Amino acid sequence: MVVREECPKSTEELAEVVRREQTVICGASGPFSMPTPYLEAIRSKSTERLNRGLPDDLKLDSSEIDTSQLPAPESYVHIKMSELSSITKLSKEDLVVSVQAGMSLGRLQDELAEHDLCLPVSLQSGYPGQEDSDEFDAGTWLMDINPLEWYVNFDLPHGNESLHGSWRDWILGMTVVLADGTIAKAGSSVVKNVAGYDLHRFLIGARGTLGIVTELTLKVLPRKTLLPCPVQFSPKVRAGNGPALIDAKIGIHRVPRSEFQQAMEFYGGRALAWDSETGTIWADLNHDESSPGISGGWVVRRFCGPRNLEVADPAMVKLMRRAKEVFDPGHKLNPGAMGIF
Amino acid sequence: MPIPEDAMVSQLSAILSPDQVLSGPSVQRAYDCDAYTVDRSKPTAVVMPDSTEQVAAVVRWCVANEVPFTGRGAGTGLSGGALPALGGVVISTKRLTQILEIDLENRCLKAQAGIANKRISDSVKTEGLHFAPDPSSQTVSTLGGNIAENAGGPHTLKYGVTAQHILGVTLVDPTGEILELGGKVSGGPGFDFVSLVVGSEGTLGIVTEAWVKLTPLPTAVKTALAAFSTVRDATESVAVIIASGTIPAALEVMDKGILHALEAAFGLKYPVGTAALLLVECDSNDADSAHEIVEREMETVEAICRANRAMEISVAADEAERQRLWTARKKGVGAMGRIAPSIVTHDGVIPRSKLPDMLDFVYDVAARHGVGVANLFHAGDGNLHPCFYFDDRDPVQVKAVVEAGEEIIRRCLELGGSITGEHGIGVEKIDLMPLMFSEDDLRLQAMAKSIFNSGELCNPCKVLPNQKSCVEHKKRWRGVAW
Repeated sequence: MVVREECPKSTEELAEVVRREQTVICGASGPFSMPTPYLEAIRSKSTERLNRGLPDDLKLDSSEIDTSQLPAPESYVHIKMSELSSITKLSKEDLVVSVQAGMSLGRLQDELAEHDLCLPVSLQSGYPGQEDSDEFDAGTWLMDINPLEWYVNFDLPHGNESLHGSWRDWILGMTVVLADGTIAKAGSSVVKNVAGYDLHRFLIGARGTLGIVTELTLKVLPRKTLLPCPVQFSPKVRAGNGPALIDAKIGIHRVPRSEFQQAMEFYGGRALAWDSETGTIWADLNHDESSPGISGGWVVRRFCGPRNLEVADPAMVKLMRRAKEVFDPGHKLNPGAMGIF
Repeated sequence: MPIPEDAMVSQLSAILSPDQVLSGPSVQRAYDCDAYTVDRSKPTAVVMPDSTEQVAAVVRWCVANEVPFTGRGAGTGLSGGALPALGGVVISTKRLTQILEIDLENRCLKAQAGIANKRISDSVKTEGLHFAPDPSSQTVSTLGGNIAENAGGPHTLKYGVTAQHILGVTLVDPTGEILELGGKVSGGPGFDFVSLVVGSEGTLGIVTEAWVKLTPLPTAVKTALAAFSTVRDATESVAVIIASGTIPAALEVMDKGILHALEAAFGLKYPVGTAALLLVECDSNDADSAHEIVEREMETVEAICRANRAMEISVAADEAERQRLWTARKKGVGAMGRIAPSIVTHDGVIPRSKLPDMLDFVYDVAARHGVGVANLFHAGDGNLHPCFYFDDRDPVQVKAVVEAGEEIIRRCLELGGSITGEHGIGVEKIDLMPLMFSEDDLRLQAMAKSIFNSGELCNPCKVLPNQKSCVEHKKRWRGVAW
């Protein structure tokens, strides 16, 4: 077993690594998909980091990281995106920013704030300092540590979604490295564009299994037009350590609005945050635990391998496999991250 | 060997019923183009299935007999997306017009693809909801067509294009298999095939049904129409309004060419010396302070317009007046029909801060090519719509229009924009794709297409350039005009 880390400083360097290697685990999406031995190596570090500041009853046990069904290739390289973390273009007049995907969301928000701009994709009540903000900032911890590619790869629900839309509504274009090392662009850098297929939307949520996103062009919003976030937080979260709780054993469950109360009853006191408008619940949900079987709903979990993707429809699975064969026939990129291949 | 027309009609009639299969010269003429009339290509037959299963049966027949097929809604597309480029069968959604389910609690609705856009909004208006995409053709253009082209409209500045409002689709793929993609709940795990299908111009299959998102109607709306003595003053106002942090629901510009057409067609009058009108609509459905928000935004807009030398600003006092202010925008393209037999509306996008210089460029290009141009466009999105008016029976004029359009589109790209904001590539802009995308970018797009469509029968010669069999046929499409 050979495990190496690479820290490319440009998209071209990253593409070179992809061309050279047989198996690539990329970016912060890695821990969701890493083969067992490598995960063992980072397990203690991750557990320590995740448990920092948590009450004992919510501390994450390292065994909760389920890797049993993940593939274990002979050798692989973990590409870290930390050096790809610059804003390459910002236009306040056009409300557009281009940024490398390794930049943390928190840092991007800070940079945008200097221009009275923001990206309305946080899990928090307003933004710090907003006039009507209640100053409870549950999203800061997440925002501080996670790079943009992590959010994009998982298309993570956020607190502003019912008012401002999902990640797919804010990404205008992207640069992506394909499995053969080709660098390609999708979308554009203007706020409206229907030229060609919407690859930049399709690749959001693909967990880095079809290509590695290295740069994003995003719409941004004037801060003063950001609407107060409708997410509510449990008393346990509001009492303290909210940020850490939110990210510890989290499962994000989205259900039809009509089934929201049923889902809330299932989680009871384990519901940490919720947004009834989008039917989204951020809950303390173990990786191997069943969620209420609500028709049409779905769950995304942290550190849980195949359970992290519950696609039951055989036609959908078939189509996904076909897409994987087209984009990454050698199964080089983030093996296991999608759970079904 | 191509299947003879009689045999095709007879076999399709056996799959459907005889009254669902149309053929003959008049039908072929009616379906040889959409609202982009420069290129034309005749189908052999037109079918009108009334269910997803019938669509699938027709597609399977086409595949078995190697007959190209092209989906078509109302035919209001502006880039030739519904043009049957290699002939074959046009599959019309004209009989797929039912609303199948309205789920108010989850704010979504399922309808067949042939339903007119506006009928969706009308059906839930009393519930305080609407389907937000509002292309100018919304009274006739269909849900399926809107999905195929990822249609926009005046209010996309705030509410987004069609892609943002489609939750799931029923797709008959290019082999005739019926696929259910997405559903009532947005954002589910797995690859987002719905995003790929929306805007794919019918090249990945034929959408027959869709779940759409219903958006609450605003509880407060304020609309203003500002008259400027120069186009530059109007477009500079747009950039300042956006940079001020105010995002109106709509921000539309109409120039003198449109105003002349409106006067000729409908007798509409605007202040003497007006070179451009800027239509601004602010709205809100904030539970507590919608009216205050809208008032505040409109005050900002008015102040900016005055600072940019607006000659006159009319703010609608009530709904009737609001509709009157919208007249110029809504009837503008229709009015152009009085000016010349043919119109080609281009659709480039630029960063909105570049609008003032770009408009100067558009007028210059039109003058150099000797073609008439009027502009009516989504200024807030930087989405230009230069309308060239001409006579498509005159090859010289057609050539000038095509060349002028391509020059404008090239300029859009030089400014960091796009070759299309809402009309699609179709056949109109297929040769311009390599200007916007590199070979590798296009290969990525071809990969995406091949997930669904590895053949050459499903709406061929669209979106991606240099497809097999298409180059020589292109000469034939334009043969009418050149």
